[in-house]
Amino acid sequence: MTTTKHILVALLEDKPGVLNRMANVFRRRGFNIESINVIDTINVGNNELPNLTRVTIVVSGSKTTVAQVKQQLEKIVDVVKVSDIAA
Amino acid sequence: MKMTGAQILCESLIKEGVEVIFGFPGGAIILLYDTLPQYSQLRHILVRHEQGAAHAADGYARATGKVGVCIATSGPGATNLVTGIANAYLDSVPMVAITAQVPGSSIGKDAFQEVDITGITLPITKHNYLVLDIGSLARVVKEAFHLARSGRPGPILIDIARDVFVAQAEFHYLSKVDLPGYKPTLQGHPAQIKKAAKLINEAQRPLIIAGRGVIISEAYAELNQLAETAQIPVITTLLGIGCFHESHILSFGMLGMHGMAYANMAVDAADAIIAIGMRFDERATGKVSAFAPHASIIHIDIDPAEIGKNVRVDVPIVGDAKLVLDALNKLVISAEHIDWVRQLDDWRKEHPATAIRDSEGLLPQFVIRKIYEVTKGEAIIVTGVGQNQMWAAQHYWYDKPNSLISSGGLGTMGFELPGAIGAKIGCPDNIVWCIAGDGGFQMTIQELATIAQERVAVKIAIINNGYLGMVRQWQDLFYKRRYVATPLTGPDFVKVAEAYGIPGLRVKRKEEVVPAIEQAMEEQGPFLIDFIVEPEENVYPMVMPWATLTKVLEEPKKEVAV
Repeated sequence: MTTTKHILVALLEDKPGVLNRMANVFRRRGFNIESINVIDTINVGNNELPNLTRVTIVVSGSKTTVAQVKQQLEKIVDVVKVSDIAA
Repeated sequence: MKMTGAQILCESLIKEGVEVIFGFPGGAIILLYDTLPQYSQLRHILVRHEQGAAHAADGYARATGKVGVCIATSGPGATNLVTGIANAYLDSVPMVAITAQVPGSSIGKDAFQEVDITGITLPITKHNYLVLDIGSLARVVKEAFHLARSGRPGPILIDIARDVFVAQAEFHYLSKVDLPGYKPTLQGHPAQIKKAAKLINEAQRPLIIAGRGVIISEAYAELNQLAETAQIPVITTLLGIGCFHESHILSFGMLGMHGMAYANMAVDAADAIIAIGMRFDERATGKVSAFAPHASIIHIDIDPAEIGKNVRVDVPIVGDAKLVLDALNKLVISAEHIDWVRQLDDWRKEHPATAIRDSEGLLPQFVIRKIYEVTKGEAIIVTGVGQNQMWAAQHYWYDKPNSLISSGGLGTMGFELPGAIGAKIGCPDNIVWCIAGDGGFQMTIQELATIAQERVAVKIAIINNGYLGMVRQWQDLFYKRRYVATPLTGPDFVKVAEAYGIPGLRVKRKEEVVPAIEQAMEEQGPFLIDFIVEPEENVYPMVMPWATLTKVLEEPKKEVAV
């Protein structure tokens, strides 16, 4: 399977340990996070998404495994939404 | 009126309909225990080890369909729950585990009996909470129960700092939860359901594989309708046993490593598979790449992360099994599939996996079959893990959902006794038989004291072969009979039972089996039977580990009807 770079953008509730929960999904799948960026949505001036945190993660993987990771991330109760914006 | 945190917790549990709590006290949780006598609606069952509390809550939840609740103190109390929580997680059992934590001001300072239990249970809970503030306690309990029982059920852990139990606040119980990141999909996508119906209607050799999801969503009638309308044979996973009458003419048993040869052959030959509420576990599929080579696969599951996880799926449908099947049934046209069903019947005649051979000694299969006959198939069977579990799955026929309670995903030896306690307390009017191996039984044997103290009328059958039998079987078949660390010395189980005030019997001969089971049934309270069985009996049929499902090992043996 071909490995490509994916950018996953996740919106999370600002709850303790949520980043740990996300990192755990990558750890179990043996995924290497190439870069990760975390920012409160309030800081980017988005009033439609109050009290949410936006996490942008760059990973490499096949389309199907990244899709699985995306689904596992969305399964986390405090994760509101995950999008794969570049494949 | 202000209440303490301990009172708020009890009030919240009552609001959630909790009647029974399995637990063990300790320093950090003493304040909750001190408050319990104020709430006579909450029956507390004292176990002898916290693992037993978690398994009992698990057995209770599976038998009743309600959320099981267990409580433990901080540190070792909490870590002792871990195996039981993982067991519930792997088998999607609704459970709320409550642990006390050291005071908030001491957290992170390695205080006495401090452990990071939310960190430890992160990968084995559906969600968990650390409560440091009394203001969030009632909301957290509300959310925990909602999460435990909705969507794909699972265990939720609530860790509560000791000082929260004494803090005071007004008690307001919310009527709704606000979880923006948690919205399980219940209705299947109409276009996908349409595609599935087309596939089923065009199939020549359709096959239903039903799992525990059917039981969780209580989709029995809908499953029955689908099977009967289009005459589709039904096989189940281990945890799906009981979701479809095993005496139904379209029932073809369990698939997988110790499944029926004809069920596995059906998977191999099918041209359409309708997998409902199951997750294609490797013990069920065998070699994944060779699974169902001729079939298009429809996968119905409430958990989107299960779709495509293990096998390729042609038509995924995310949703609740009951609702999806209801919609699907409206589009499926009646069919016959006479040749296909006849083919399966022929395979069943050629490979009669449930026949028991004639023998001098006492065969474990024979014991299970006699328990089936004496209980008329109406008991709740709670098994251990290993050979006893597989024989209980093969040689007892289950016509009722939740009548087989077994640790499937985690495969936890020692589940049987506390699991049976939970099942019996949840269903006091049912006969509950605990089918144990002599190995697993010794892992949680201390719960005999719980049975004695609470007078739990569990009937216990120890399938005693003097070995850790399933591992010995692998050593026999794959490691040139090098029996390393599997020969097992046990205590005199009848004397052990007697020491706890529980009557018991030892059975060595075939003719003693039925009278012993009848005596156990006549006894009002608990009863233990130590069945001394053939030591080196293997479980057949057996698919070689990680081989395709058609590579079935069947022992050449003389079949007799029993």
